Amino acid sequence: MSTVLGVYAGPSPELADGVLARSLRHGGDSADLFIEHRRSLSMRLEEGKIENVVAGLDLGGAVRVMSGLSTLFGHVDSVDEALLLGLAEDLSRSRSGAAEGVGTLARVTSRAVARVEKDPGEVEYASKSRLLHLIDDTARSMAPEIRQVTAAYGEIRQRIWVAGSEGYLAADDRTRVMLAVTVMAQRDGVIQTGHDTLAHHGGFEIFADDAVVSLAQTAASRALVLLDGRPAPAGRAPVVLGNGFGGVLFHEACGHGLEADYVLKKSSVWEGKKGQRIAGEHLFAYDDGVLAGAWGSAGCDDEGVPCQRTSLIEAGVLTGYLTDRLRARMLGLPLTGNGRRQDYRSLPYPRMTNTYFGPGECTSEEIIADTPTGLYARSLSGGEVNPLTGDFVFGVEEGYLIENGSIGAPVRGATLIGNGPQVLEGIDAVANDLAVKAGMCGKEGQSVAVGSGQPTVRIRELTIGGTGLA
Amino acid sequence: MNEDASTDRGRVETPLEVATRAVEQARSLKADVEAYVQAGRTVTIKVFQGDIESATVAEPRGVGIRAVRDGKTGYAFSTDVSPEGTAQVVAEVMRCLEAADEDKYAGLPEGDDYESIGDLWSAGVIDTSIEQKTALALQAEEIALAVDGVVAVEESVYTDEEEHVAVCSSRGVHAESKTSYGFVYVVAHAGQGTERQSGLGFDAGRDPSRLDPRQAGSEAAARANALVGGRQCKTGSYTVVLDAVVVSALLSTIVRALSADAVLKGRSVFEGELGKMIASGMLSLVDDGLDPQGMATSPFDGEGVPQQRTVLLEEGVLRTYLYDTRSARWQGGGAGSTGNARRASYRSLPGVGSSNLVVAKGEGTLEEVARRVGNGLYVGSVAGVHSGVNPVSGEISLGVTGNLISNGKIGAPVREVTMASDFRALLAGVSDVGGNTRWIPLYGSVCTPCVVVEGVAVSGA
Repeated sequence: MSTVLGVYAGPSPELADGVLARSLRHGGDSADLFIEHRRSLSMRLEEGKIENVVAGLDLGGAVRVMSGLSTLFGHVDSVDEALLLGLAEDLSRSRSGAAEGVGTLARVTSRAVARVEKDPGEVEYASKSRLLHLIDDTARSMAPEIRQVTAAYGEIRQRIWVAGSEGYLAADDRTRVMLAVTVMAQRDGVIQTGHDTLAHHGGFEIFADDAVVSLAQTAASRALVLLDGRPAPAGRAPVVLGNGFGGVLFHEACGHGLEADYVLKKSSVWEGKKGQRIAGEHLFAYDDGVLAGAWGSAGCDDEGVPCQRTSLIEAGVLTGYLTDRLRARMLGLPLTGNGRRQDYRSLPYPRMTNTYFGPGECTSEEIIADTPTGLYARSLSGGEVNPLTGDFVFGVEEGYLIENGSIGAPVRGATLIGNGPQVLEGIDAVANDLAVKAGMCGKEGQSVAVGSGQPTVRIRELTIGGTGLA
Repeated sequence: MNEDASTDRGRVETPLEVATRAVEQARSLKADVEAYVQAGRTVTIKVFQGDIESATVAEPRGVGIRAVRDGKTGYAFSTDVSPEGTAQVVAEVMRCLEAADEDKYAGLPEGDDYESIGDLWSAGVIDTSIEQKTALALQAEEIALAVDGVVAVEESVYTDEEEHVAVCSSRGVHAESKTSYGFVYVVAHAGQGTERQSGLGFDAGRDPSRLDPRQAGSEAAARANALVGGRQCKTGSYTVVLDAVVVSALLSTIVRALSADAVLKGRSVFEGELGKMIASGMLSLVDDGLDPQGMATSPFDGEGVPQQRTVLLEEGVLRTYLYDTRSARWQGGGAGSTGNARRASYRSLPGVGSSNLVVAKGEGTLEEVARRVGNGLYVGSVAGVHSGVNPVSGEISLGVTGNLISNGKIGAPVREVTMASDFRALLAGVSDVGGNTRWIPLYGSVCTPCVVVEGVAVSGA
């Protein structure tokens, strides 16, 4: 039942060798060839109907020639040998040095990070549309206030091959599937939305009916709870961030600033702080590209470096940065398998895979009971950071006031704003309920799959961007 | 890098030829079929400390095919535009169609004549050498670095794009266009240590020769310098002066609630408001798909329907929603497409979206507007637009940087604060509009001056 779009077996070592040799014909430190074959399918339900079914094929290659900090890059929407060799030729022509040699291409084996039990490409389209209808029926049956349900299914099978003049040839095969639901509820002219996703690096097997029903119920409950929400307060207060999506905190407050391209340009507040204490001793943080089945995991990165688990904060001390090949070389840092790109049309940059705070010992209930007043942000939407200043924002999707150590009235969406270094120092409690959720991260105009997670944590004080002026 | 190397590798089919052939290949399917083909050339040059950091040259292309039969719609796309490639897409699109549910409003538009628009493509985008394009980015970097207070330039970028689009369908659509667009932007840093701040400056136009690197460099420097020493201001209700860049960020999201698709599906706070006053009388807004200066300008939209100039807000009164073919059919009662079927690329189906949003100008420069305001907060940039503006509930809560306005003067820098409102309150609260409009291609395509809004909640110290 696989799609009729394109079959491709990958480039031969001879072609890779030929492209690399040609691209370095007039000099350069190193070169690489990246080839991608991506089949995708998405289906979208709205108004109770499958409105869109979109299948696609992306097949193309890119060549990069690096010399010092300077990179020449080109890509073609084809894997035709003559076109790839022609591209290498074009890139080499803008240089005027002597030819550089290409190392013997040794195969890099990448470890499988996911077992695909049920290849989504082999699952009937009707089974996929049935899941979307199940979500619609489940959400609509929850309350008469449910006005609209948007459900989307997505699958991607991405195979990549990357060869570098330093002498490596790597390949990876990534299957990712996702169900995303947005439920809209309306009462007395007020509209609220609730959102949730179920996704992993792996096959169709995660979409068991009970998991899909629970997904729809979570999104619908969020929208319904918020109908009774009051405006979020404005001002500073203690904030308890829920597990799972709360991981957007580390992603924005710290993770981006540890990406080595910002470090290299001295555009990060964390530059020069390796080895320094940046948080309490109870804080540990990781970037984990080999977390089994996690959304941001992969066998190797998009530069053929095997993915790994990298310790970033160890007992409050900053222990590492996230690198790609170029920045690791320029900064003399180890390779961490974080050279990622959206597709063959984009240059690789250091990007997070799955990031999370390590678990603590108390329970989330104990943290809330220990907080006299504040905001409990159970679920977050995305965020944004300025790595230079460390100032970051993230959106609270589902929030509640904390009153006398217990969860009180729901509050409507609000943005939280803080400064990375200050907020990390301000984390004074970490629970034991670590969970990692799937999301998309944008940088340099490129979107990549990342996992973000954490156990429930408390921040001593954060600015809440509500409309509720005291 | 040699830009012309590909021309000697044999003649490549034009987008119109590919689209026409693809529709022909689908003739036997007994479905209405539309092919959308994109082919272009793009150059991006990033410089850092006087050298090229990266130079990218590419000629991306691809095809997307939509088929409609018995009310069911399917879509498939591919980067392979060869006859074999499009034949595979045609086969796949029917499998997609069969998996869709029936929708009585689905269908393709009938072919219609469109007027061509002059000056959407400029030869300079091809004739200007890579060296000259690099020089623009280098000049912009140099100009920013020369400004007192600037300590570094994070990046200075020149990028351009030439794009050919063709749409053909079995319903008689036969359209093609060619556009070019160039953009130069700079991110500058000012201040020392933990007081370091960044600022963005840019300039855009259809031809590299019309881009002004001085504008980009000096704006980046001025914005970074203006924020050095920033602190939280007091929490409270403020009169805010929204920079044109901020207005563009907010309007491009607010207008999603004016899409007929959102309204008909109950996803809009502006449902049932046609003919009513939904904004201050100071505010007039047009969706102008034909202005030659707009980045979203094209003779026809993503399904080949002629683009047009559509008045959305006339002195605060909502005149119409935006329509594509499907939402106009659903609306009924003589509604027609307003030429607002937009596509991100050949990889996606068209959906209702704005083209160029143009805000009617008032009077005065930013400084004069600040003088009229007296006391308030100038908002120079916002953060968290994706997570902080909900196009369905209409709630807005964003991180902002800017400067306090006291006694009519833009002064003390402000950072790490938020502003919160909602679509209705924000539109109704507009109390003044500046006179210096600017085209801003950062969040969609918007042409606007600065705008003043009363009574916005600001959360800080």
